[in-house]
Amino acid sequence: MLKYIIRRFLLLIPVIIGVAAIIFFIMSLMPEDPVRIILADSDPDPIMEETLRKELGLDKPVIIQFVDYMKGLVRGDLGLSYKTRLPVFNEYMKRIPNTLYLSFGAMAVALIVALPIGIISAVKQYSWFDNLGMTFIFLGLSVPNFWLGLLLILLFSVKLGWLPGGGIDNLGIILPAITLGTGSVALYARMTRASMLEVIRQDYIRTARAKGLKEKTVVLKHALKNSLIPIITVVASQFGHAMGGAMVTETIFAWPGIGRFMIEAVNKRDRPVVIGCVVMLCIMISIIQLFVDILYGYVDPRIRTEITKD
Amino acid sequence: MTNKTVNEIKNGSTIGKRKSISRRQDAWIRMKNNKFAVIGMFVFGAIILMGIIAPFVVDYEQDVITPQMENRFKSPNVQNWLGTDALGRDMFSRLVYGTRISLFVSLSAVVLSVTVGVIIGSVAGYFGGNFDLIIMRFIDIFASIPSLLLSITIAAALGQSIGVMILAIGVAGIPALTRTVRATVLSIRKQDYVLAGTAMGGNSWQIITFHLLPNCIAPIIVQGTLRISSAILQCSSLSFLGVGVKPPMPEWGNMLSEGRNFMRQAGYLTIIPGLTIMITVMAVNLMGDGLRDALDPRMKR
Repeated sequence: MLKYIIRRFLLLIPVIIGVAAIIFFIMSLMPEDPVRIILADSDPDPIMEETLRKELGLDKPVIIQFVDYMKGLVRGDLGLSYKTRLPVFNEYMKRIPNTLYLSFGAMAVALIVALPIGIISAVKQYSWFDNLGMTFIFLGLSVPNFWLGLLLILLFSVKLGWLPGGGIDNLGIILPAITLGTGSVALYARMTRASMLEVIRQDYIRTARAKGLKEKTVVLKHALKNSLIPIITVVASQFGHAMGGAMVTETIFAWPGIGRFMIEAVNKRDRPVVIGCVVMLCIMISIIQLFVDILYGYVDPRIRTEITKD
Repeated sequence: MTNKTVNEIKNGSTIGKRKSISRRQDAWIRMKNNKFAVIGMFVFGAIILMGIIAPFVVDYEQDVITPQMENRFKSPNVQNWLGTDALGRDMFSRLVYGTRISLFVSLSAVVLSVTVGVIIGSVAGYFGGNFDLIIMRFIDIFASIPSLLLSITIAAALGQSIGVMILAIGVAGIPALTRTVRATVLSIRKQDYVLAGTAMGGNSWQIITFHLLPNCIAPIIVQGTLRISSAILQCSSLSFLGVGVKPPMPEWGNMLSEGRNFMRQAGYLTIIPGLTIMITVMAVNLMGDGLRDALDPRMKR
């Protein structure tokens, strides 16, 4: 098991280098001259321009710049923002808890809605509830989440005044979490339904029923437990995407997280911030994914034996 | 033996004979019997048609982008079916033109993803070995960047234009398409007719285009259609965030983003473009689900 974990960790390294390289090279295609962005001047003093260029290493070829960047990344140094001259790493770390808070909130909302729908739809397949649930889910899949966010603000904060339409304080999490979570509901519910349908037809479920167990016990204890694995996989992989999608939600709700930070940086052409945010987000997502994979080993004995075999 | 019997033998017995249908016709019949899929197809067709005829119904310069300050914030009425926006421009004209732009960007992006995905996926699947390993590792790395983040990075680096948006959204869709095509190629590569093709002296290019790809059509169509809906959503997200289509050019996402500032006084400016996106995405999804069920009945839920 330990060998497996170590190997998986080592395999993470090329992925991180690859992601960083892709993002770094894409961003180096930016037509604007970074020096001019920092100086905020279209016609700066040539000597000052030259010194700054040297200082930032922008006079070197892109490859060397990338190697320097990676050396910095290992030390937790992502450079300074072009605009505020603050270290990107610190700024990122200051905001990431807010983005995680939002992503977890969204995940919670999505699971609270999706699990019951998925379970009941599977148990009562083709019933009116199943049809209604699947229609509802289909709507959730098609609604653009920024629009949903705006409608929620319009209804609950402008018209009714029940909930705050922005900011992170008090009940501020509710609307953003619903907005971000809705996109995942469809996926979770469909997965739950499919997974439950597969399990519920198996012999041991019939045995459980034949033993005279209550339907509730059969469904929740026997069936649900065994259908959780694929659901966890989807939840974990969707979590990363939720963090990426948080950008839109954060912009709408003025949420002080990574997404808004990054969008502001994009509009200000602040290259180190954009690169830093994307690379760090990808690293976090990969680590979360790895974590979940390892967790399986503990949850499911079948996977554990599979892992320890090779 | 009478003439009649000979004919019967020639054409197969007429008793209990069913008109033979091709696989394509079979899929089409299944598709036609799916009510929701047909509705989706019609709605999406109508929306595409709207995008195509947009320049013939509205004048871009006059109706779509020129501000008419005396007409600001008119609620929907006879003259302006969907009201006017903060600069007095007719919302209906902008919506029609926006449809053209949103659909052009999303559909072109999907064409890009499908083309690249098919090429990379089939080549990787056919040749296998280390070549496949390297390509798929690369695709894995690409896929580990959330697609919206990747699109935004590309759009941020290359600036705001229609071409960049197509590239940004198209690139983000490549990994999924590549994986689908490769998986399908892998599953049929070892079949006898492929071997026969090789034995007859076909080179790799011929085998891939004439033997392998025709059998990948169904999953490519299904994956491609489902990709259209996410491309539409991504396109409007990018514009909404201000890295997509540049105003005053209308696009569903940036219309929404403009309307957002006036949500209190003119809610319809936000509601209408969003509703349009939702209806379009829903139509595409219905069509995609229908196509999946029709082309590959085994995948049916």
